[in-house]
Amino acid sequence: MIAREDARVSDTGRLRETLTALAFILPSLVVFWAFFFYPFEQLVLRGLYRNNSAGTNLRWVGWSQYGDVLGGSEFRDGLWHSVQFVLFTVPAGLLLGTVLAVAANRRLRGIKVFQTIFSSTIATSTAVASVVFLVLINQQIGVYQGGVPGFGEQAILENPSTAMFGVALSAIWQNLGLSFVIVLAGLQAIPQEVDEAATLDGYGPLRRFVRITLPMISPVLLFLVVVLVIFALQAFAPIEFLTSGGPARSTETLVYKIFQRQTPDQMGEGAVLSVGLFGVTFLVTLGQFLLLERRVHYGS
Amino acid sequence: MTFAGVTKRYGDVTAVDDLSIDIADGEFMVLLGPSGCGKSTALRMIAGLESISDGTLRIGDRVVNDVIPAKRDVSLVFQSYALYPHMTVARNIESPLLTRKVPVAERRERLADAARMLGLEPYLERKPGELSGGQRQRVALARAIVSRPSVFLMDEPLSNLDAKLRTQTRAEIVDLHRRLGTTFVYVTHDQVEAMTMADRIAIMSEGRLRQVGTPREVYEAPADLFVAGFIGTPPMNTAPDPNDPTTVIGVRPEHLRVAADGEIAATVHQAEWLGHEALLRVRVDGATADWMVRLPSGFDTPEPGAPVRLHAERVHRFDADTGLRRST
Repeated sequence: MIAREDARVSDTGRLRETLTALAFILPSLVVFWAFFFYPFEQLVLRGLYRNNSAGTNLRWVGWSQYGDVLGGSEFRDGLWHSVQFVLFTVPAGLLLGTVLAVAANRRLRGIKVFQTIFSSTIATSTAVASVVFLVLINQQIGVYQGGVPGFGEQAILENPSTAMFGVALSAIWQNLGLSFVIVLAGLQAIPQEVDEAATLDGYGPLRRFVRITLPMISPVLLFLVVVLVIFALQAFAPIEFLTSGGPARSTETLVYKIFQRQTPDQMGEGAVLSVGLFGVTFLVTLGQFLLLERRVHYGS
Repeated sequence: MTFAGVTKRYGDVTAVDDLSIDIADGEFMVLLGPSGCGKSTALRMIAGLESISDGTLRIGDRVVNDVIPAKRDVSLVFQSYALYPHMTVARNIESPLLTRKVPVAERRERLADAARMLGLEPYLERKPGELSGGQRQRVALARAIVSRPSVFLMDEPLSNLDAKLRTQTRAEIVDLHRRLGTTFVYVTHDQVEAMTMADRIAIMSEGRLRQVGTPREVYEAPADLFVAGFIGTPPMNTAPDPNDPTTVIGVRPEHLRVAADGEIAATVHQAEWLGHEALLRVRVDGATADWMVRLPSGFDTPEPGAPVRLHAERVHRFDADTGLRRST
């Protein structure tokens, strides 16, 4: 009985505890509010207004604009192009990053040189990466001026069917350093003795990779997939540099369409598209965690 | 199993130098030595995790120098246990059987046997991360015994356990050896483990084998000054022989007695009373380090600074140049 009396927290004690907790989370709340909640609220509200092109005559149009834009063909086309970009860049980035990391994760003389080279694209600005690919595959000045086999004679970036692929090449290359470094870090966190135990247990190289290595780096791969998908959904610079959304608007992703809506009369529409992009990114990321998390092993 | 002139070189460094040992079938052999003495390298060469630079290694009557690890019929318990964190305990234990295409029924049976032998039945569906250090260690042992190898290799398997658990697991491993009757090769730097577990001990230092023998042999007749100084707590006392400069004499602490007519003059430096015995730290002329004298607990320990005379009941003699034991 006495113990129970002692264990009870008084009301003033509870209040003090709550206030202390608030004080501790306040700094992050302030930062989050100033840089996320407040701007996001302003963005959502901006979507409720329309302007004329002079920037005067601000009219409240309510949620109808959300319905019009998110249900319209612009959002649908932009989303489809963004999805294309994700499909081109994420699996390829994941695969190439893993292949390079596995190749470079060994104790050889001079391996640090290769590790540095493979990770160097991190240090390249998007502008530079884009110019490099412009020089590589441009119709007039490119090293390779042809098209993708099976998609006609037109140069990669001039053909509406292959332009997105061309832009993706540049993004894959630029993200490769990041993918490489992340996967390599995951591989190096695997204790050498675990690999040796697997060797003694009779796992051949391929089986060891599939049964031991992949599960042990799965948390790192999940992180990489989430990051690459978000990068792809937000990609802007390579599109602006390489195609400016063309040809025939075939590389206008959601982000690019938002960028195009800079004049006052289109700001409301841009705001709605931005909220739409946020929603898509949020749902995709949530989905990845829910679906993939079950297949990820967080070892101790 | 036989090492014949086995050598391991890394560039200019020789990690194991011309090692020759015969390990009998069913024997519990401990490789003992300070860190960097080559004992782990020798073990890893048996497992096939290190290549052999020179010499031949036989398991049974088969030369295994170029046999891949999985085909050597050995299993290894690592210091870190090296369990697969993403697999359940059951999967971890079964893993050597999964790759060797053992039929399902037999696999289940062997898993159950190993789990029973090591008391792991309640934990089979857990992941290694949910187990204590001692339990993980037993999972590693179970994974080693499930494939029924002809040689068990253990690389400091107890050093990640706390003192109490270590003593207990030590006894369990000795028990396991008795029940399985298989050859064990066990690497440690801990002489207590070596003395208590081994049928024979191989003492190594700087890549070379110093002595192989039963715990009693290496204690009572150390082959050289290194072994004399490595085995025993406290180790053997040594000093140049005052009558013969080519000889170093050695006396175990328990073979010294305080006696008025003792032949060795010494000065008490410190006395440590431990209850069941007392250790006297004394300075002896010519000795580079303090000598230790083991006294029965009833003995009145002299004050520091007091002169004492000691009588040596048993004296070992070593060559001053080579450090090797002299037969007389």
